[in-house]
Amino acid sequence: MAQEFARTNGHGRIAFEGDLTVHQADEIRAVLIKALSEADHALLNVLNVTSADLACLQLLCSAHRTALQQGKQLSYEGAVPALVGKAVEEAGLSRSNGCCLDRTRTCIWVVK
Amino acid sequence: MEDLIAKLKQAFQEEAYELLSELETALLELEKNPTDRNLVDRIFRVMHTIKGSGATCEFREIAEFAHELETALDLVRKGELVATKELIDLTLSAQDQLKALFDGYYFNGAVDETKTRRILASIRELLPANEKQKLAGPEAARSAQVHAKQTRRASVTYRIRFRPAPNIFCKGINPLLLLNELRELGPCSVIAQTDEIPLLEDMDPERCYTYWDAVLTTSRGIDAIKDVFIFVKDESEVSIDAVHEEGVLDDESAHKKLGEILLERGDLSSGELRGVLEEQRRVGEMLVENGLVSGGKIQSALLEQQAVKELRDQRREAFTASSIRVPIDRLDTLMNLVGELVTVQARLSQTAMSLGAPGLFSLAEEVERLTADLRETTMKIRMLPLGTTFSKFKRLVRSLSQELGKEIELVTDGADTELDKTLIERLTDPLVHLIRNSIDHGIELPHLREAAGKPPHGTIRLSAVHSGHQVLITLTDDGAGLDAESIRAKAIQKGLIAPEAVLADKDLFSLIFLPGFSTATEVTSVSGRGVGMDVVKKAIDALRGTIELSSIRARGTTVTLSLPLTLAIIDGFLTRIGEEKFIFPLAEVEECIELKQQDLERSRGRRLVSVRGGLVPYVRLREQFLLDGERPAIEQIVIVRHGRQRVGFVVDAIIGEHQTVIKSLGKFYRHLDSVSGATILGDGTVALILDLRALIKTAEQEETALRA
Repeated sequence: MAQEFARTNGHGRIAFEGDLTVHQADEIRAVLIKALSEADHALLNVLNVTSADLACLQLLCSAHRTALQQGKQLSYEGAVPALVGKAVEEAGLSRSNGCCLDRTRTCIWVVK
Repeated sequence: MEDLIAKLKQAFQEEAYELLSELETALLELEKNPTDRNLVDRIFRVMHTIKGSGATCEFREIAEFAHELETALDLVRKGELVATKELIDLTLSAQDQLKALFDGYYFNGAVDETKTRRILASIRELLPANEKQKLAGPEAARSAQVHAKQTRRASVTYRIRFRPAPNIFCKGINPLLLLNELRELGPCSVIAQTDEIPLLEDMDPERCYTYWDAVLTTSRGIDAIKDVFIFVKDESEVSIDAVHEEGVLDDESAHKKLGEILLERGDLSSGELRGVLEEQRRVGEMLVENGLVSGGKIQSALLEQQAVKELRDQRREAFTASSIRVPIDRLDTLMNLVGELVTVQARLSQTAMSLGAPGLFSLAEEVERLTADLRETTMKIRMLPLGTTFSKFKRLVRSLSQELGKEIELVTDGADTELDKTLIERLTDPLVHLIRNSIDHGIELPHLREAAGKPPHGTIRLSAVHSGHQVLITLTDDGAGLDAESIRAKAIQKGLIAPEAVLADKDLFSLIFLPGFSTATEVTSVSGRGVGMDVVKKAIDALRGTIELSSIRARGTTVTLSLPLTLAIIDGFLTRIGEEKFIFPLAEVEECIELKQQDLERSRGRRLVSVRGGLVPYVRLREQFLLDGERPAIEQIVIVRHGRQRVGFVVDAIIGEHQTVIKSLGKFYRHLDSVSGATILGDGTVALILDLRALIKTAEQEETALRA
């Protein structure tokens, strides 16, 4: 896995590449915390992600919940690759409504 | 257990033969459209059912045989094997062999077991190398047996909650694989619950915080679900509850919502209801908004609702489309009872009339109406679509045309036209004769057809259509047509017509219905033995139907059969001559007119009456039946249609419509050809049912004899 964080006019952009698995979970968590502490709006770029397991999907979910709690935003930048979409689907994360915290209706699992 | 198997076998008997006939039809269609996936699926399904039910009924040979055939068909389904003509031929012989095996079980028929092996060996030859060894016998059949038991279970909808151990990731178990296994058991919706996922700061990234709610509908039983979680069950939380079981009635389906009731009563329009409902927020949305329940939980509950609803709808659909099998003799008994009831009802009406009691009369009318409805319904129960017979003919055409080196396609139309079951059964043989004739004498060999500028393959079209109280069955071929000259020559040779006689083609063609008439110069295995057309005619006559033939040389022949819908009860038209009662089939009656003394004088002894400017010949039934007694001053003529002509029958008086239960006259009166049967009237007397065609024929013959 490779990850990159950059800050541009209030947006914190996190780009992930390769496989996102439980082995990289610590690293992913750290970069997500960093992004949310440094920017009001974190942009997730997963375009070059080749696979994602449940541990990482959980982290993305947690990141969104954290952003909501801090009054910040977290959203995807660009498309979600089919393989990641499949993992989301298999994990039963796709849904039509977000969780209780999702007052802004920005849940990253909601199928638009 | 023995008893259960015996019952299963009995229950499966009829279905088995239906499956075989379905298999045959589908295979013949596949031959025409070898790439049609739906057909391949259909064939596979039939074979699968034969295998499963065969195993359940302990028909070991059938289950094993069907299993191996299924394996080959599965390859076709997957596109790994092409449905070549050879494979279809083999599968058709396999179908024959399956039939022989079923016959063996059910009717102790002889089974040539070497044939089963031969067919399987030939099919194996067609398989790709890696598949050949997969075709193994007993083991596979046992698995079929297990599978059959599994598929016979009812579908149950389960609500499953799976909360894995927090350290599941560290154990190298991927919970998503378990979810996928669950999905393999049947229609399944899985919703991940995320409400326990903490904020990033508090999160241990190697811990599993997600848990799932799944709604699964499966017929594999709760144990299959438990098996999915077998390796994680000790540390995880798995709860499985059945929320809906097929076949278990629930009252909720009958529970209507307030809006629905108001709509039904017309107190509220659907537009108004929609308007109000749109303003109202959904419970789920309100709960999510108030932070009481998460969206995931709402969605999971909605999915459960949806799954149960779908299952219930499916079941309702299956229920409305369901049917029951009834032995035909019960239907015969029902028909006989209805017949008796009709007779008693006629007596009741008559008694009511003679007593002149108004109360009784209206009661009798009511009974009459109900009896007519009951009669109609009973007749409908006995109706079967002709398609069942049609499909048999496809196979016949295929094998006969192959035998004769001809290319012939049978096109059928109106297969859903319904006819009384008894009629259908008795119609099969005549139709087989007619089709054989078309194949043998009608359709030419491909090279002759091409020389005549026709496509090399011939077409036989078999169609059925309702026309009033009759069914018209038409068989048309685009073959050589009848050779009027050779029919004529043959008729002269047989002394049937005088050499100088001038006959219209239609009359000439009707000669081929005479016994022993065949113009085929050589006898083939298919037809041409001079039996056939007269047998066909007799069979159709016996069904109170007619047969007509038209043909154009080099263009083809059309045979039209018109048949009554039923043989048991007809609408009759009751008349009287002296003290005797006679019944006309009402369907054939066109109108009635009076015959007065002055009409007789005007026609100067010729038996013709003027009806709206046209002349209609008439027959005096009093004379035909040699009845004594005085003719009334005003007689009645019942006019019926006979082909393109109208013919009148003179009777003393018309009584009116009469539901006529047909009783046969018994063998002593079998030679009578002017009556087709009898019926018992309300007062217990017998009325004869007229065979109008025979009467007209007799009258024509007498007329010709008089002229000569």
